Amino acid sequence: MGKIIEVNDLCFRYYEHDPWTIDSVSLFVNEGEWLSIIGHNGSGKSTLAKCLNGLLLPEEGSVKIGGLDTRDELAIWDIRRQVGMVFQNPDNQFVGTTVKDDVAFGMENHGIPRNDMIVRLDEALKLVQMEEYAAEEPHRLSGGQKQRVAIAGIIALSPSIIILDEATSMLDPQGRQEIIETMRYLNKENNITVLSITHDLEEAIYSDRMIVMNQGKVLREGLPSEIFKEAKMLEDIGLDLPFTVKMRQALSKLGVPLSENALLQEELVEELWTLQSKI
Amino acid sequence: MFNIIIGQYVPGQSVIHRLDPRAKLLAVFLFVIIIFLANNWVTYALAIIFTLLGVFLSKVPVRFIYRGLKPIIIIIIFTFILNVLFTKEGELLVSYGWFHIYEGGLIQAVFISMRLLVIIVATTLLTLTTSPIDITDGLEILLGPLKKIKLPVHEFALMMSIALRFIPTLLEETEKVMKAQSARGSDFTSGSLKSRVKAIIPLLVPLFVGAFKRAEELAMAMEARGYRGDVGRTRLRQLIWSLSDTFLMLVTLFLTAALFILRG
Amino acid sequence: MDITIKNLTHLYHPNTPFERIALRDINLQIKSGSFVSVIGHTGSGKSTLVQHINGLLKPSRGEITVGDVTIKAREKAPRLKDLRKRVGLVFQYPEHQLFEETVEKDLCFGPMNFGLPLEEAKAKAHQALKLVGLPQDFLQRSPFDLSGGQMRRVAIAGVLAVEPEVIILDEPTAGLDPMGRRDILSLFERLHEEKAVTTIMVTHSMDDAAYYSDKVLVMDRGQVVMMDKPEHVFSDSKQLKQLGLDIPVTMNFLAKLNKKVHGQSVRPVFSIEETADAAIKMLRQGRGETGHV
Repeated sequence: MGKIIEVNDLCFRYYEHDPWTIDSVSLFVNEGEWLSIIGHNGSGKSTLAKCLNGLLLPEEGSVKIGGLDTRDELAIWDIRRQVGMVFQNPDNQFVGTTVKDDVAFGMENHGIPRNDMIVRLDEALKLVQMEEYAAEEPHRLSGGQKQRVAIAGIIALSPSIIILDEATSMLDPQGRQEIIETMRYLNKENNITVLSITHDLEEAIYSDRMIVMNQGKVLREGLPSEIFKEAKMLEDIGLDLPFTVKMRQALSKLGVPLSENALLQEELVEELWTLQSKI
Repeated sequence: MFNIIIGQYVPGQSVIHRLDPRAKLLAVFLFVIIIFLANNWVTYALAIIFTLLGVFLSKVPVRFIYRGLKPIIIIIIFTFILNVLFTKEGELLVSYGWFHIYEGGLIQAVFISMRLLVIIVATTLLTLTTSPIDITDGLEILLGPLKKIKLPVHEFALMMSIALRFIPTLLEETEKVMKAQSARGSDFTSGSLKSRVKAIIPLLVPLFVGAFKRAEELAMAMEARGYRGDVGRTRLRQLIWSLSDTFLMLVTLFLTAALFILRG
Repeated sequence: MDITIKNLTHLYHPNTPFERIALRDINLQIKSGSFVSVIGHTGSGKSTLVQHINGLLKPSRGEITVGDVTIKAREKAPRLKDLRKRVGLVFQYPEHQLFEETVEKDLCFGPMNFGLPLEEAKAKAHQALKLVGLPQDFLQRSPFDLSGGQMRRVAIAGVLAVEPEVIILDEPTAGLDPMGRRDILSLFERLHEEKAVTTIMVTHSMDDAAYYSDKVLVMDRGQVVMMDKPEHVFSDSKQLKQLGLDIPVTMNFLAKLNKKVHGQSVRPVFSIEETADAAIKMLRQGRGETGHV
């Protein structure tokens, strides 16, 4: 597995003389993995995301995407084609007057010939199951549908990474589910690397790796099972705990000798079952 | 409110609907100029027939056209009266105190109102049968040559299409903020003029703040999606010039020639 | 204030080709001082329903009575201002309604609209800000310089400053991070408990609906499907699934455990502690019955 994103000692701030919004952050993203970045609002995670496709440029340190530096002006458009980004507000990223036009927008920008565009457009809409809505206007779509259109617009450019910048936080549970399922499919079947900036911990449980950010710094990096063992640390920086972790704590308090490993509900059920005789 | 802003496009499949927006724009543009050539009964009759033919072929219900005319009708009547009263040519038809109507004045008044009327009907027909986005596309291509003298034609067209895209969103937002402020005791519908103007501030500020935030996020999203102006851009939307478009052009040119020849 | 809704139907764009039924023949009662959650799919009519309670929307048919004010279809609504003073509504993303130069002025907007003199309005503003847990030095700051979570709290304070007897919340925690969510919800829980404010909350979170409310109102396609105590509503997981709704995570977990250990079904519980108790009970029972050692 190659490293598809490499961030070294990245420092960024919006105004000179301000404190750093991103403070010497180093991290990497492996090709094909699902990496979640969690942290409370204002921890710098969204700013970090915008540094990863050159929307914001490092003041110190470097960001490299597939070996290309975001500060290289010639490479920036290649980088943005490689790194697709779905933002938080479904409405404020929908440019086209119809679904079709919106999916095409990115392809038009990157000068993809029209014939090729039509083929990719169809494929992309099918992948996100929005082909029936091709001619629909955005104000007739739900939030989840708009986000799927945004994903289609990215997929059409065959990127290697998709960054979800709190892309599900404004959606209802159904919309959230649709987006996560679509992304899981793309991650598995199309080998697209997913970097999800989120405060949905139940979603983060399923990621391959996690990064916890606080005050512009990387606080922890590791497997979800490792990260969620540090319940105290997470609570201290204003994050919640996943249901299973809370459940585990409550059961331990009542004297159930649980390990700290179970993270999925199924795992916890399994463990409780094996402990049944000791309760 | 909705209709005024986004035009009054009535979807349809008529010959006129299916014409290339460029052809329609050019024809209406030319027509609005050559109508000034008309100066006698024959030429006006030709222009009116041309317009009515368009209306007939578009199959758009007449009430839609009337709706487009409504705001203008007062102006037409006003122009008519002015011309009747202040043109003193030809035979005196009616005379009552200071009030005189001359034959020349009456004819002039009819002609000028006719001119206004056909201009409005023709342009209304354009917006009734062409979606705003098609008009934008058509304009962008027609004005394309102006890019050479550094006019931001592409940017202008993009601005138009984004504005069209966001109108429903902003209307929704307006309704929401209005409700939210009403819930806090704001009253938009009664009270003195002063208090009503005051009530509009709690509505406008959030709308502006919201619109700016949207604009900022949208700009960011567009950049992330590789937007860099008109450089090396391809287009999904395609306008197709067909035989009927050429035919429309020919008819319009023919009308131009006829007006030149038949004008008095 | 008791709220009674009788045969209420609401049409969108009535008498036009776009006419659509938003609410169909709603009958319900909300007791003064209760905490009711409204759940249902997006588009099921939740927001439309609650906007009737302070007269923002009028019934197309039927009537609604809030306290001593009755709004009937086809009649001019009486004393709307008085009604809106007593029924506060916190919209989704309420921070979008902030408009004044300072937090204090924005907080005074509601009270002054409802006729309080400036000094009293200021006093209410100060109290409301304290209530939402923000320091008093925020009063002179611009609401637009605050963080998203703080703006949300200021906006909520703007509604609380009027001291409504009924408070309607339309997805009050949408878009917040977990801590922000917890803060907001416990604020309303406190208000409800300490001041007996009737609270009506539209939510997508089954967990919140189950945990906080006395009664849960389930809506589907403009109709009320159920209105009952959470333990009753959430014991019918089959029907909820049909409506595209989930059961709370606590019950979901117990159901999985139950399937594994073949325990007896337990009564619905919604807090972590109760769930832990129930789980242990379930394991012990299961052991007894299956003879597992």
